[in-house]
Amino acid sequence: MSSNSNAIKVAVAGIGNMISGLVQGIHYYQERPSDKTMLHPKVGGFQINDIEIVAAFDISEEKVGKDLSEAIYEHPNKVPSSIEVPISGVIVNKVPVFDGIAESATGVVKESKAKDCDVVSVLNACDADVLVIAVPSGAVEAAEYFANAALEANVALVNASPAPIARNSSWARKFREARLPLLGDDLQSQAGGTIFHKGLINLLFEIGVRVLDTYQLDVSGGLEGLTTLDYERRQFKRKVKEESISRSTDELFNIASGTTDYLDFLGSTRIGNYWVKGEGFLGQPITLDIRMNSLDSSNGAASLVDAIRCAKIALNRVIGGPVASVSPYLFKAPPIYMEHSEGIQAFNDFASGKRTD
Amino acid sequence: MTRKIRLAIAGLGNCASAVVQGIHYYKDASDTDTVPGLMHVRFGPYHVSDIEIVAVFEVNSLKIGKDVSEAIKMAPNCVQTFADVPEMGVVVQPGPIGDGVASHMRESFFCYDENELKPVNVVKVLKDVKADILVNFIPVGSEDATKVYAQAALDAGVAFANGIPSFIVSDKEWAEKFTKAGIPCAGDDIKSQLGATILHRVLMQLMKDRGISVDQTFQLNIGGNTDFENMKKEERLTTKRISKTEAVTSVLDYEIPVRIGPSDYVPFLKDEKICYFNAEGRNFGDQPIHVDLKLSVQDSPNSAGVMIDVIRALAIAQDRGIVGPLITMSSYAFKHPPEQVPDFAARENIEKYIRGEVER
Repeated sequence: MSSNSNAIKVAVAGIGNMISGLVQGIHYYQERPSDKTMLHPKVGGFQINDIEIVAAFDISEEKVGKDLSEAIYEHPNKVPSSIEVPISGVIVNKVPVFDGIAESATGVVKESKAKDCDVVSVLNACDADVLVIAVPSGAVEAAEYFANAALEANVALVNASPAPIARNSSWARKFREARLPLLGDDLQSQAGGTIFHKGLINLLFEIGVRVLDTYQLDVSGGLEGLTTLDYERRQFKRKVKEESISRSTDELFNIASGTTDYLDFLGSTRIGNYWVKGEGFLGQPITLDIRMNSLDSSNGAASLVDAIRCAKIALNRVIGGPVASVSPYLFKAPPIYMEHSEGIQAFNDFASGKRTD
Repeated sequence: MTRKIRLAIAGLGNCASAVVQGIHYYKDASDTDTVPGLMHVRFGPYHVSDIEIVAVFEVNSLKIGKDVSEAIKMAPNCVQTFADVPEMGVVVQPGPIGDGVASHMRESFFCYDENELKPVNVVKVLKDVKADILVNFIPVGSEDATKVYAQAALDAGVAFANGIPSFIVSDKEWAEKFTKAGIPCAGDDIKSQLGATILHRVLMQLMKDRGISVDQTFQLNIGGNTDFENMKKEERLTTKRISKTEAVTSVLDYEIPVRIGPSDYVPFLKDEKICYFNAEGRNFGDQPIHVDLKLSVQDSPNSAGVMIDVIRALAIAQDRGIVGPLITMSSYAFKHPPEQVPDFAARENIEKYIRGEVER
């Protein structure tokens, strides 16, 4: 293990496309320290290569038992390999499934026959600082299981899934009482659909366009797309997104936002179709049609590297419970909402130490 | 003086509303006018205004008991109002429910309570009002309910036009029943004037004809009417997805990854249907070519003109004693006909049918 005194020891639950992006990102930017696509080279003194993955959990027979460097490229992960990842020495542990496999994903993801590990002992043994929950959308029980493990093992928690943990008052209280930082819920991609849609709508209102109806409907081939084929899971995820966008402004308008279909041949590519119907000066109609192509995995990982570093800072400052200042910027369903610019300010203030909550 | 065509309708949704409105919108059109969506203002001997609504069957308690002119505006109908429809003295009657209402649609359709209201005897009503033609416009996936109406048409001696993808006219046994009963029929699954299927087919054909290797393609359909709400449940649209997909893949002679929706239900779009197409291919030197298209159209009027032509073609068949499936009209006007005829040839053939040069 590293001798880096700044090391952030991270355990990850759910070795999907986003974690693949995270693992690749750590090595990618090590070799490109001044690359501008790394939005925050330093957060509170921490660099991306201070992040060290020390434990990994999954349920799939194709990932459990493998070295993390190998597991991140296993089916059904679709992230292209941007960089050669060296053997990590971290072997993926088996955990209980709970509701971690959606009905529509049965057959795509097969449960490993390996024995379930004791998550708390694993976290203790590797001396983890932060646990990242990256289980699929709709897997609420699985997310709660890991939240509990974080409490018992005394580690900070980053909930990247849309399961209600940070925005749930009883979980928030438990983390506050345990004096452990809690960041969540539902990680917001750095340059993804939600933030773009929010920005677009806010800009339109700012320049005097009354937005009447709008949608952002996207398709992808990642497991996340397949999962949302279950109508109920789709609605769950969609509600989080739509609320996130509606709350970014006081204005009222019709909105539909979320994943609409699964196209296996797209891989991790996400195609988003944006449409806005509005009215400008004199009530004259204005419409927008926009299409965005992006890669899901890398886009989520970009925010995750910030969230992990914030969790470590909060741990050092002994902040217990939801970290209010950074969650609105990094997550779609934070415990409290802020406007985008306010969220950025709060994030920066937290990183520089101006804000301590 | 031509006779009136006495029309009965099962399912007074958006499609039926657009038909009813269309009859009034074009009632004063001159025979020589070109009307978008109709082959002719006067189709054979029949003017648009020769169609007369004589009976309507519904399951929606907000529509039952109301005059048709008023009932077409009731929720969940959301088609644009483009014509003033005067009171016509025809009251909407309760039809059999069967599988016409999916469990997740009972509220949206304001379905009547079978303990409080009994469905009418469809055969008796059709006979009493002396209907000539019954059009089936009930929701996609209503396999049994469609058969009930088809059987009623047979028993009442009424011609049948099947607007939905439950197979009657394209089913050998059912087609045989109509032939034996001496009744003409046309179907199945009404085609839009310019819809997603035809546009996607033409795009694929064009890429093929120009020597492009197509690598993958998709078509996403979203809308806010009850057709889309009804199709939220995958089991309700299995046959729909297959027939739409085959219509596109049949153009190419090799297999590629394809995904064709109905993809999503977005209530505030109402009757606006939006369709995104994408095709990825390679041209000379294996260089990439991308095609992105968006189609936006009012869904229900898109097929109403086509149905008005079908109704008049059936009336002509009755006048001439032609019985069983109308092959050419079914191919031109429906997605799942007994026999596929290339679209442009089919249109030529219908002109011949009107002139009496071909039998069907």
